[in-house]
Amino acid sequence: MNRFLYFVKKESLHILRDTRTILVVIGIPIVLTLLFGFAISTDVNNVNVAVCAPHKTVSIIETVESLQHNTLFTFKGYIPQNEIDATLRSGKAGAVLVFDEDYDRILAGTAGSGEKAVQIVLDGSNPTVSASAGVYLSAMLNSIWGDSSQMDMIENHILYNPQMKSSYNFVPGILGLIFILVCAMMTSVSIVREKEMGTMEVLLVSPVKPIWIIIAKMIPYFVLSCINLASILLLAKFALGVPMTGSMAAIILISVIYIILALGFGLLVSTIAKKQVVALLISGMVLMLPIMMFSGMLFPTENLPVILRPFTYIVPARWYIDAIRKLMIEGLAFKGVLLEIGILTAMTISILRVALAKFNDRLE
Amino acid sequence: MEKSISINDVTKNYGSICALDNVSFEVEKGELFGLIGPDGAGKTTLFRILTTLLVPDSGTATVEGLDAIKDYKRIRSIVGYMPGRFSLYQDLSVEENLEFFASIFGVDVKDNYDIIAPIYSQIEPFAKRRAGKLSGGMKQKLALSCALIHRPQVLFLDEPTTGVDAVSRSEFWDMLAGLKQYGISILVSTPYMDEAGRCDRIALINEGKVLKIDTPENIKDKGATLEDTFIRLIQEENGKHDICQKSH
Repeated sequence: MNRFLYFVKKESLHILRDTRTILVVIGIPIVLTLLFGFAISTDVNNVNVAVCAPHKTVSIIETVESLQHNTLFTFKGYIPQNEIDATLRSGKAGAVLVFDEDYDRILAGTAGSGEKAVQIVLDGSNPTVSASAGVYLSAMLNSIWGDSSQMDMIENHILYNPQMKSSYNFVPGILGLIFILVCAMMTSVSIVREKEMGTMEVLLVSPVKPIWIIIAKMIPYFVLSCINLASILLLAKFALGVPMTGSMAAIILISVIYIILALGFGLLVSTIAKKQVVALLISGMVLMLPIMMFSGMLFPTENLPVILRPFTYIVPARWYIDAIRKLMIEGLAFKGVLLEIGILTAMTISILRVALAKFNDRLE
Repeated sequence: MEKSISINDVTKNYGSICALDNVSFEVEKGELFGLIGPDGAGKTTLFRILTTLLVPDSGTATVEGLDAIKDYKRIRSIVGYMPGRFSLYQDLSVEENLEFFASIFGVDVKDNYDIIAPIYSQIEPFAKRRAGKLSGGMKQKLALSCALIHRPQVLFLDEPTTGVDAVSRSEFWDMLAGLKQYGISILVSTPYMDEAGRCDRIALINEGKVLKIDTPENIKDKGATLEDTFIRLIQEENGKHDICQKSH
């Protein structure tokens, strides 16, 4: 036991002495969470709107006033009809609200039928922004027109994330990514480093069982991952305001299972790679890419082509991210994620078994 | 008397490359045995077979009577091994490296301090210094201390003096000579002919074959240097039919 503790101490010293790496490992999750939470956002805010109105009637001025007061829009001023195209092209505005000459009469219902009171011209080069801007603008107009509205009333009722905040969705994704980064990448690189430096030969030619060498290597990274888990959860709760109404015990349990799984991946990579660069590439390309593409981190797995969808089932991050979403955002209780816990546990056991079987106590 | 190391007809191929070709020799208990040969002669492969890191294709090897294949676990606890290019843990201090290697063998530095004292005392003033910041000669001393700290019965040193300055090399051999009193058998390899004279017996090895085994004095041709003798033996060997298929 004493021997094992020495091993853990040695591994921890390796990590602690490498100040730059430890800062990166602790700092990256925090930076990513804040970045995705605040800076990078797929929410549409501050759409620049210009207005084109042939006559500035009272009702039009009132409409523009409410546009100015709405935080979703930034009013960019009135423009003449012939500048609509130029304004959108130059990017000065993302949307132009064009009032009809007969706006008041159409609204009052005294114009001929089929006339539109308002035309919304959108810059479609960014579909996300333009689609949301269009929806926002029609919603605003609808609320102004009230009863006299000739448009159909559409009721959108969004569950779980009523404000549609994208930061909520990113937190589970970041968790899924960080643990692979810290555990798989760092563990594999640190084992392969020993092979490269020749110290692995000495460790093998000692009475220490190889399994203990491996476990000792994993423990410090496990601790680091728990620190990351705590920092991301705290940031999500207190800085981003993610509800986290679900079972906290389940969040921690499933995260720990996922961390062990990631450590197993690291060990597996280290049995294949002979050079640190190779270990880095394998964990970077082979592990990270599927997580980004197939886990639902960036876009819903339902949007993938049918032929690729089965892949998502073998990506552990998909199950983990799904479960964390359910727990954090939907607020499900423990039994809501039993399936995910079961699948991740099975995956963890099989990966560890393969990795340990492949880990050789000789050189070849 | 039982031999410390005994190698019988050991052959090892890497694909079509023959690393060891029917190698046989024995090392007596407490002997300082030198394995002399150029790069690529098969020295490292032989060390890895004896330290149980590789399994030979054919032949048997025993260390202190233990079979290198079957009893590999027991061999691992009685030998000390310093691989070629062994570089310790650069980011750990001198002291931490020594403590770590003591701990993996389950021994305390204090208990076995006497055996490393002549060597370690020279680097002890730098105990807090990171191993990566030591000079080549000091690294060598630390590596030897780490390999010795658990009082191994057999010590395997693979090219321990490669890349070390002449003075440190000479000091290193003095240290090995000093280990005689502990009855440790030492198998050491080197590409330097001048170091051969410090061994009790040497084996000349080239392209996986042992050319000759004898004491440094007897192995030389009359009036010739060891180097000349070695070159003559290699030429003689090349003249013979090559049993082992080589790709190059």
